[in-house]
Amino acid sequence: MPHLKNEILSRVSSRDLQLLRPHLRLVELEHGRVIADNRERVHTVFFPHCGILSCVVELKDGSSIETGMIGNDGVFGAMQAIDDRLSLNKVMVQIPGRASVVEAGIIKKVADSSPDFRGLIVKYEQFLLAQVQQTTACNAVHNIEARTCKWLIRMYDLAGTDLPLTQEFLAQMMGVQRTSVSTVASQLQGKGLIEYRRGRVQIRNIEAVQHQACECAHAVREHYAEVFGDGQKMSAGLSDLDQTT
Amino acid sequence: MALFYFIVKVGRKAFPDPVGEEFENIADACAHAHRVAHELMRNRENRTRHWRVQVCDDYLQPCYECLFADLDQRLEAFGDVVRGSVIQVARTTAALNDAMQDIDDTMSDLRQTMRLLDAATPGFSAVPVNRS
Repeated sequence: MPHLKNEILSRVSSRDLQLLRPHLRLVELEHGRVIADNRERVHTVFFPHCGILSCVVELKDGSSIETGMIGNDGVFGAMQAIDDRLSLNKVMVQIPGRASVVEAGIIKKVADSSPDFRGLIVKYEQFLLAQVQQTTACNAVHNIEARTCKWLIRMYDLAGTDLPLTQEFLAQMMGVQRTSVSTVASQLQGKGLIEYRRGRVQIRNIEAVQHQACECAHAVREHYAEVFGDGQKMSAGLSDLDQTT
Repeated sequence: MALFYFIVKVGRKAFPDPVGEEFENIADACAHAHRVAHELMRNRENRTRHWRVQVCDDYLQPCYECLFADLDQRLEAFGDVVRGSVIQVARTTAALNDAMQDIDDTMSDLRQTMRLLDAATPGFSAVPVNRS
């Protein structure tokens, strides 16, 4: 069943899945697509199978910074659906992919009838909050090279080693100038950690990237394992790493 | 609008900017260079004080260069004498790196010249030099 490629859906009980299944449909996630805007009501809930959604905070001066990533380990819009809330920030597709989607009203109905399902959604929201808090601390105290490596690790966890990314986009997500990202990318490439071609970043040595990163990438992984209580690896990328080591 | 390139110099390495960015004038380009310097040195000021950002025009001619130490606001807490000394050390380190890079470039040119000479006159580089 394709919907189970999303880890949240794969954790839903069979009874709740029976309720959701008739309403789930597959959609493509195109790069740059805005799936929710700041203070906009959430009508559709997204369960990504592959690709990455970015939660982005936009500032009045036109700059923006990413505060969280949602991949096949998570869901966007479920908590807002349960409480009829608005999206607190802009959410856009950073890495193209595919997702299962369902109307917000269906999620609310299932959550109202199933404490287990509601609990699962709350758990993920708790993880997302932990991720955002970690990102806030990271942006405040860590240097740009460590932050870039942390960011690459999170991307690796969610999307693997080959990442369709421009430096402009990476700079926008990190809230810095393109020139700064370009310099860091050149340094990492010079050390053999990544290979950068026009519009693509390939991670060549994930162990070395982890060595250069701050503790935040590891902390985010730990948060996920703690919240879901099973220590499950959160990604295809991490599984790849386990196979190589 | 004019195109400017921003080359970051770290020790003896230079990280060229293949894309460049457009600005109204050199003052705006310098302000951008300062922003980049602040971002690159933030939370690792001690390790990056000798780094520089060079601003080049459309023809890749250098028109401005800033040393990270000059922009490091943390140094202001130490008074003019200490701040001046730290900046001087950073500046000297940067100049030393430039000098060593120049030597590397000269040696590289020399080797190339010797190779060409050897090709034209086999065994030339093996001929002992008469120092008398």
